[in-house]
Amino acid sequence: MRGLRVSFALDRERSVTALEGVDLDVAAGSFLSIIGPSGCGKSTLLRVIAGLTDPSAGSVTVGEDSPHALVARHKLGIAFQDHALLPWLTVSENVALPFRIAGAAVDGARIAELLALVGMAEFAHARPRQLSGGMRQRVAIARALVLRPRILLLDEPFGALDAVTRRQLNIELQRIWSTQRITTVLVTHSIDEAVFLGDRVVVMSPRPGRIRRDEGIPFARPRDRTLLSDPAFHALTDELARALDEVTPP
Amino acid sequence: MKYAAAIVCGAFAVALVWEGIGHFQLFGTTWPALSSVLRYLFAPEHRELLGVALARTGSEAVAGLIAGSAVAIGLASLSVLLPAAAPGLAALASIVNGIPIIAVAGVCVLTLPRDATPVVVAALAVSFIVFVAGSAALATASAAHRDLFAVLGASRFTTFARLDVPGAVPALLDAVRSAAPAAVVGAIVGEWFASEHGLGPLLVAAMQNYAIDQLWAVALAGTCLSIALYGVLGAAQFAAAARLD
Repeated sequence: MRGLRVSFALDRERSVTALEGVDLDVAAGSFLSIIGPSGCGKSTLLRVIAGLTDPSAGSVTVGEDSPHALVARHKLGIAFQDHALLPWLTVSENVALPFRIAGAAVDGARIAELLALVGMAEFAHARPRQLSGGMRQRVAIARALVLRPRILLLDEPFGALDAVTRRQLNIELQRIWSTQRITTVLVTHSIDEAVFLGDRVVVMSPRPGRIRRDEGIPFARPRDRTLLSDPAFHALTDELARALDEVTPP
Repeated sequence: MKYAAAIVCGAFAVALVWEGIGHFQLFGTTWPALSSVLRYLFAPEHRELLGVALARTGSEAVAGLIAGSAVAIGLASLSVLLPAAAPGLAALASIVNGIPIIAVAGVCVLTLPRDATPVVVAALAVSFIVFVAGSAALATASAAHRDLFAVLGASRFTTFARLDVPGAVPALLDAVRSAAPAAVVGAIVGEWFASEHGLGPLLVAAMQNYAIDQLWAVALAGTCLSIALYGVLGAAQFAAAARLD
């Protein structure tokens, strides 16, 4: 993305700038984490990449495509904090939804493979109301991956879960991602999560949202839970926490 | 269970008050006791007449409810699929709703086969209620679901068919349920003008002949029909809502 600016009109005369002068490159097959205080525009940035919000200035391309072109080709995967599963469909039917929306034949083998990958194979015929919050997010991630997207967008996917489940799912997500290697952008409030999952962590500041720091993560993959108690991991998260404190308004 | 007990207690209280007013003639002789109305209703010589009339009005009300709801939900769907047409359709629905049902019935008598009038009046009576509630029902999908469908590249029709409609089923049934009593009123008014069968002509005959017990018995039968329709659709709505829980 180049020179990205996003402004929203408050009324006829006033507007608020959510993002200003954002330049960012994400290497193919890499995992980018974005952290920042509330209101820094990180979710807006994700919505621009998803084609849900049009930029006021600047451009975003994924490979050669605009977000809208990518959406039209059904090559964008997304998971939100709200799992957004359809309650009247089973787990398996929810994962099949992107095929149906794309007008493509449902690939049962692909669905079975992904449900196995996220550890939900035995719940294929369950309905969302019968699942825990963590299980619903696993299904949402399987759904996001099912069409082999060019880019995967994760907007606080585990933000509504308790700390233990969240940590468990981060380990799971790292494992899942390592098998797929899809270019991924994660927005999160959790520094631990950002560092554990990312190849890079970008720190954003608010009003208007700008990139203040771009940190490469040196830890080798595959990563497992031992990394979470590694002193180097803690040193990096502490440093990023300080960077976050500096950009957070009092 | 608590809800059912409250309904039974409420109905019992209404019956008791009704019986008291009628028994002591607190509102004069034109307000009979409930027991007197029930005696009339279940007397062997009246049972068949009232039963046939009730079945007739019931079938017309149900036909009108189905037809009116189908047209109203169709128009509400058109508003979603063609947003440019939405204001025009809403205005049309308001205008149709603004025409007094008595006037509609009069026009129907002149322009339609007589037997069709009760069904058409019932359909018109429910259409506005179902259109307004149906339009709201088709817009109940959450922002997250809408974002998901947008990101997955869903067309407007796909979003409508796979998100808006399945998610709206309980609220659509609720809309039809809310309109059910209007369908019964519409069918009776339609019969009043154009038919020799059903509860409507019985009401007219009772008024003209000062047959107080018959008048109240027919009114009670019509009310029970409304409540029965409301209850059946309520059960369907409850089952559909449980599926979306």
